[in-house]
Amino acid sequence: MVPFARESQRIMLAILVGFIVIAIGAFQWAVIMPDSLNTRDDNPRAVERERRIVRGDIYSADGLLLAHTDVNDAGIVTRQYSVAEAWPGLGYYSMVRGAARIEGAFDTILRGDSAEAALSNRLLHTPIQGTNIRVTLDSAVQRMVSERLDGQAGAAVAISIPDGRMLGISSAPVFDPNSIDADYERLREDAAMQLLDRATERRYPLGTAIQPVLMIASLLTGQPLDAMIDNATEPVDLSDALSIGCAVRLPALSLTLREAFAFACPTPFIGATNAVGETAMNTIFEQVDALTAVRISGYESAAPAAQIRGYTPIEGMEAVVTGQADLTVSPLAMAILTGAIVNDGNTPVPFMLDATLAPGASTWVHAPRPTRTIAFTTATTARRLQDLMRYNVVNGAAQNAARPNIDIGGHVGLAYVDGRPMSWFIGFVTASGRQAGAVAILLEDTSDTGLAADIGGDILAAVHASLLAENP
Amino acid sequence: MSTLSAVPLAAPAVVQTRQPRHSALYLLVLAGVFLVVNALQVTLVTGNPRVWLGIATWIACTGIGWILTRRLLAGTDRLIFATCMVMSGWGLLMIYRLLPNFGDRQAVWLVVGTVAMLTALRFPDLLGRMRRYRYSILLGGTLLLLATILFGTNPSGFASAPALWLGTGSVFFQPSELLKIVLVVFLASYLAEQYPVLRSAALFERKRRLFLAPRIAGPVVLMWGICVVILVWQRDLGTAILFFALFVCLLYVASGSNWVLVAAAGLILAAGAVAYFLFDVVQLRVDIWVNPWIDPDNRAYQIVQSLMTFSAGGVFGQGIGLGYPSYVPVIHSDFMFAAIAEEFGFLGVITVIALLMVLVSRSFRIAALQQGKPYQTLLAVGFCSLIAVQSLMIMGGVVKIIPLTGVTLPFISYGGSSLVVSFFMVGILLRLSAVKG
Repeated sequence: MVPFARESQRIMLAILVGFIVIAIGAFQWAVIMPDSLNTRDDNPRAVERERRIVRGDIYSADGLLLAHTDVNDAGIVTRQYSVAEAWPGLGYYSMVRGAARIEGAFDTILRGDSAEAALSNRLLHTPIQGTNIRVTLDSAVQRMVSERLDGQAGAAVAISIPDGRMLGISSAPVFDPNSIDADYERLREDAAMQLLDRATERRYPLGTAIQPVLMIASLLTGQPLDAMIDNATEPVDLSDALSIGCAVRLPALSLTLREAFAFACPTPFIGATNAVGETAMNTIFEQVDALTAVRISGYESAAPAAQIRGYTPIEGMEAVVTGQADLTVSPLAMAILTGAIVNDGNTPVPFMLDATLAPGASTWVHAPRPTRTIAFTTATTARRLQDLMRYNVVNGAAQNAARPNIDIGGHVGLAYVDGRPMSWFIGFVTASGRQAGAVAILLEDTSDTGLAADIGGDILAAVHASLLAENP
Repeated sequence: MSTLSAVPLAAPAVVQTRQPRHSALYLLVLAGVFLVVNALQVTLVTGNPRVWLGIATWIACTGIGWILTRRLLAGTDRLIFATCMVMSGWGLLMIYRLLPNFGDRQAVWLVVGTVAMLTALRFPDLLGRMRRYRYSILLGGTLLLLATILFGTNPSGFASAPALWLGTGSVFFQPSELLKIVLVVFLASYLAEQYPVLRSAALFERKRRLFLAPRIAGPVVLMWGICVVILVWQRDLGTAILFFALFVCLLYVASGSNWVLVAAAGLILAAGAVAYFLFDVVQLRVDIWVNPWIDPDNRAYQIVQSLMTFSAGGVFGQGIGLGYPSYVPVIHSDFMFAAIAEEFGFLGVITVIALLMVLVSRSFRIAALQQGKPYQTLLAVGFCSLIAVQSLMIMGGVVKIIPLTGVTLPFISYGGSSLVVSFFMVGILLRLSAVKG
């Protein structure tokens, strides 16, 4: 053996083994466990990919472009929201802040998270193109909802009955989603809580808007509607400084339960509720509990179900009949409740996604719609309550909701949150056939239930026009 | 009979080596097509046509180099030339893609490197001169190191960056690169003379204790001194380890003693332990190597981003210009391997490793050809080991197999000094390849 040959050979082998070890190390990161790094939050490549995802457009039910994505020369995308009236419903999309409301609920569809898109992006480096969606929002109804809530703090929801289409939704005050990145911190700290979707995510006490529920219990147990009740207009004391009375100022009067319902006077319901009894009240409250659990189909971020304590006939009766007890609901839940009333006792399941248009496709594909309904009360009871609510609009505290030649029923209510007044209006409108619409309005920091009813009337009129346009 | 004469000089023997003539040509043509296609993509993605200047430079250097290596010296190993040109072309392409402003400069260095290679190939009696003037060369190298310590600067201008460069204006060079050649030449010529002693049975004899003689212990002390100076004064961990590894390789080959490897391993561990507590830079690199995930956004940012390039590249890569390798700091220099991983995927990584393996195996084959010529053998082993160990160090660091050491990937990374010195070493290897034992 010549000198150096054996040693040289060993060094060469060691070096070659070293290269193989490095290849194995690279294989580990590139092939065996790439996802452990690719999916890390601090991987800037994930951000870069996100910046190049061309999210799908969002259209209203009648074809108005509500949100779209601009792409600059460098392939960087910007989300644009051109229709201000739709901002409260659309929410926002931000690479940094995430997505909310419609943008959040249908994020997976909008960003094109399909296996085919991912494969195409991986192999051909084609930008990921999201799927366009058409939502059920009607541009006229949505415009009315937004316009009438302008300057207010509160929420409004309009649902088509019996199918459950969300025709309009708003939460006020409104923020501009086009500048969400710049404004986010300010909005987050803002006392007005603009980022909070008051329509679906915030729960309020029902106040005297609980009366339709109490009335259903009364009707189911055969309580007399036309018997006179003394001192019916007296307010119910909630505390030393706070009391809830009728929705409009009335002198000391004796009223029937029907009239008390029309003016949202709470006192007569104390007797009625006692007469209904604990079992029946608990049953109806459990049904409301089930109803408040209903969410917009596809909305994962909607408010959790309201927590309801059992009805107690002795303690806290005033709190129960004034809706200031444990039961809290979102405006969406109240709209669903109204929907159940106008839908002959069957609760519709609301939905927002109407159809999708995949990249390159020319035909919209209808999204699956929720088909189930939840029985809330009997058809007879529901129809009797509809009549009582029509009476409210004609002769009661909800008169501001009346519109000529439109069949509208409604009810107003007054609630308090930490001593601050809240005004409710729930109402329905009927159109041709079984077509109807249900609306819930909540105005914060005002006891002007007439204003709530007026806003409700305008929205119901817009819903009516929309429904007639669909089915003249 | 003296124990020193117990080690016979080997009789020259003929080692058959196949000249893969056409393989080298095919490789270069394939590389040319690869570079042109990718340059087209770089132009389309970046909108900057400057990359074509680099491609033209590479084609010119490759063509002239191909012709002149044959004309200047017959029988050179064409595959070594081809693999080096492929890697330098790929590196040039990546530099144009990552830092277009640096691309032109690297193209100039490619020309200079090619000239250096051809010079090494044909300079009259180059190997003999280097051997004769080894002490002068060593003195020059030491002075250069001293000058770097005294007048060193960093082209980036950052005060905290290691001052490893000499130069002014826009022209800088890294003396430690030149020192690589100096050390290989000195150690090869010295050990070629002393290897009979190193291999003799009298080395550790009680009476004679030859291992303590200045002629044996001298180079050990010298190398240790150089490594310590580089580590302490220049805080250049990578170069210190590289020089030490080079020394161990050559000493092992010259002495044939496994104890050299054992002692070297022990020394490295001991020195590593001491350096860990003495030098922040060593402590940092070991800590982030052990667990980079505890501080991925700060201290371990570079290695974490480097690993992410591999996962982002997957098997086929993102395609040149379509990845985000620039998130790795100093991507164009120390982390070019990571850039290739992201944009050319695991296939690109394997290709680079395969090219280096070809270069290494062919170079060791050249060492084997120098039978009976210890100086030439040790020169070939030295240069080859230098390129291989340097590659292993940076690639191993980039994939987190070993702690990071800031050295360049030969032929691929940005850096004029590294490129020119690497080509010069290849020139000598080519020269040796033409001299069959």
